[in-house]
Amino acid sequence: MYLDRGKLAQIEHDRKLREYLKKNLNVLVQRQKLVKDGKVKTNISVLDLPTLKYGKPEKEVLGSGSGQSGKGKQGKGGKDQGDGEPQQILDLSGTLGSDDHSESQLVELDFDEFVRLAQEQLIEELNLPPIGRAQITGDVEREEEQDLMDLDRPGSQADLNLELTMLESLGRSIRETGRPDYDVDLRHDGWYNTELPEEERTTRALEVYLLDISGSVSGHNIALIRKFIFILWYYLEHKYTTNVRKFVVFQDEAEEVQRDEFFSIESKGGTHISAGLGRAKAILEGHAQYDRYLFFFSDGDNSSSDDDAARKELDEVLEKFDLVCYGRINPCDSPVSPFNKLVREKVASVKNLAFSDIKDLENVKQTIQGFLNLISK
Amino acid sequence: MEPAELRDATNMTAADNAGPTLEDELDATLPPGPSMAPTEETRLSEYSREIEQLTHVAEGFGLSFHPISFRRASRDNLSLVASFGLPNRFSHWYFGGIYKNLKIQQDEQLFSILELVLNTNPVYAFLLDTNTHLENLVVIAHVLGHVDFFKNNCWYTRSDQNMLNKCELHSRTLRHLGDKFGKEKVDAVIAAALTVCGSVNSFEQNPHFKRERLLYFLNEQLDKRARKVRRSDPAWTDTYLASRILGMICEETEYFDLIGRTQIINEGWASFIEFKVLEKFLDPSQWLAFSLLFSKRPPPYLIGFTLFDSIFKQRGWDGVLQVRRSYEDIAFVDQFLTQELSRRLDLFMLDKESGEKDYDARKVKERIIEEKLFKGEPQVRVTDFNPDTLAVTLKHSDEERTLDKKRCELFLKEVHLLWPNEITLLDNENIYRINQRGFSLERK
Repeated sequence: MYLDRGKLAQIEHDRKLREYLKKNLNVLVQRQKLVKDGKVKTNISVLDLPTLKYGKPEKEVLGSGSGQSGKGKQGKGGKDQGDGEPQQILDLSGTLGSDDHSESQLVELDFDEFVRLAQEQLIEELNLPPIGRAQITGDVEREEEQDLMDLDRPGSQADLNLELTMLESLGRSIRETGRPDYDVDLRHDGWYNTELPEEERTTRALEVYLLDISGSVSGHNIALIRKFIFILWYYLEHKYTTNVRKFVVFQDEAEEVQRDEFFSIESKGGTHISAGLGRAKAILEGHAQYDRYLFFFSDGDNSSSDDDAARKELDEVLEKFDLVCYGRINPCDSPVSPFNKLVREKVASVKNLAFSDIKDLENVKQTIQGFLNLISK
Repeated sequence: MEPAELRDATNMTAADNAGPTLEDELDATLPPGPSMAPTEETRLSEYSREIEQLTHVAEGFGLSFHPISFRRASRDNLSLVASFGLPNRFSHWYFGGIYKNLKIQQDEQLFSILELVLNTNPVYAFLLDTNTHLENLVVIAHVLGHVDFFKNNCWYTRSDQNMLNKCELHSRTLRHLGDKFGKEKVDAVIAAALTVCGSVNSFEQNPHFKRERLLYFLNEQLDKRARKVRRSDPAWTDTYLASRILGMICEETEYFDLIGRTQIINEGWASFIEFKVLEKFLDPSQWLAFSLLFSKRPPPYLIGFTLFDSIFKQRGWDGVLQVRRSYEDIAFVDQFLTQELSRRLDLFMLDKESGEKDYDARKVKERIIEEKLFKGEPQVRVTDFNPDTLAVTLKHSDEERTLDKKRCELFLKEVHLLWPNEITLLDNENIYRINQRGFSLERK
């Protein structure tokens, strides 16, 4: 009998790692630059045992050669590999065909894995309901099975000859079994079933995330927004089998960015909301068959010269998106800006617009619930 | 007195089973690992002629060997042995992390482990199943060097070459303890025991100096406490667990410490023998390819090889055979690393701030010896023990460097898990203390 101790130990290790990351989620999620090369990296090594270490690294180290691969590597001590120390540091260890492997590694998590951990933690922390997955067979799902009401319906040539087909089937059944019956199950055979177009519901969503990077988004605020997004993803991924996500950041100008960049923002510049809304609108092209959601995060302190343009863009965006969720970043109960006032007024009359102040985690929970109620309608 | 169940666990043979555990159940679903028993798939039968010829050449140089069992092993299995130390060592999350990283690095083809050889009798040598013919010849010759070293080096003759069986026994006992007292509790004690393992020194024979090392001190004192504490005492479980687990880990750590303290000479000797044996065995085109492989060896291999090559040129086979018999890394480097060899190996002290290189062989030698003595880790000594209060004082005596404060707290918490009495750590002007009230830091 042989036990694969490696796999068992790795499972144990990964469980520890998850516990650790969950505990440190709040610290990690606040980082300006959360993602690099698709990975979330922490500078705390959890693989290490808490052995004693010196407070400061040594000034002088043993060196060898000119830093060719296989000869030198970073010294021990928990620094990110490859962050500036010379390559010539000699490590007196190694196995045949390898360098030393026992050095504790920095924790690097695939971003998707990080998001899953964050979702687990947040769902538990906020006591939000876990939900089941969407059906993943086919793009179309029906509320209930359709009854076969008549034989006269549109369809392919075979469908149009349905009456003849059924008569043939009836004759065959009588010949073979002596019973005047159809030899097909009408309920389950696609041949005899059609869907009514008005009852189709798409399982694809286009989610546009629009973030104001004009200076107000940092630290606590950014952590709240990210948590908000992670929870949204949890529910939207369960609702839709296809989630196309687009990311837009804006200040004076707007640009579409990749996911990693969206989660590694640098705050700068003024605020022109019209630029952001305009860019979000442009992304819709080619996604007509999708449910279209806009999640928009800003403090709403728009440049006064942009208010009219922002109002116009908001109206157009509301026409084109199925739902626009505006999360106002407002941790300090700031005075209401003209743009925020406009949104508040519209919320009462426009069905596909949701508005919420994002102040703290409890507030995020309420906001999420509000948004999800609208999405499920 | 030991409870019957646990006494039984320690008396188990390899054929015994501690009863079905989660791991046993998982076993059915897991792929096989590197078995000790040969199969047609893992046997290197097609190399039997080459193994015989290479062994014959090596014996001609005056080498002798324990019986060797060559096995073919997959990359994952080699990663397992490399991360755990032995293929059947107990499972712990700490090894799991190393295993995972090693697998990732090998999957990304950052490097590949070509062979692993165990210091046991008989010796087990695992060769990577994707090795080329030439690579297998190289590693077989390399393994012959290691096995000769295991058999003839005076430090290795004292090592426990039955460790494979002991590890199996330890592993089963730890699983049994986990079933009995809870896996989390046992895992936590294992982690604490592994944390204090840095103070091991398998060469230390003086009982007084040995007691100054935390691992040995705790092992001795926990053993005494476990004998004194009655089973009805609430402290019995913790004391018993700490004593049993630390005892097993101390034994294993000494075994692995020897390997660490002889790495330069051991790898150097294996590389030297490999070179000399293949010199007589390979044809010119194979030799050229081998030379390229050989030049990419990690530092310990190259340093050791260069020193042996230099000794061979001066003293011949008798000289090198004598050195491999009597030396370990510190004496080997201290005596044979000359200024000329240090320069040839391009060894220097590097100032990390200015980037200046100092080629003074004396300094290089001192640093290598220091690394070998302390493994680059801070050393603390047990300087005081109160048998009445059971309070222990540790001292870090390097006045030029202070310890990382956060690490001190975490370290003391681990030690406190094993020794739940007052522990004080003196580090220059800092006094770290942990007791029943918790952790504290004072300044002198």
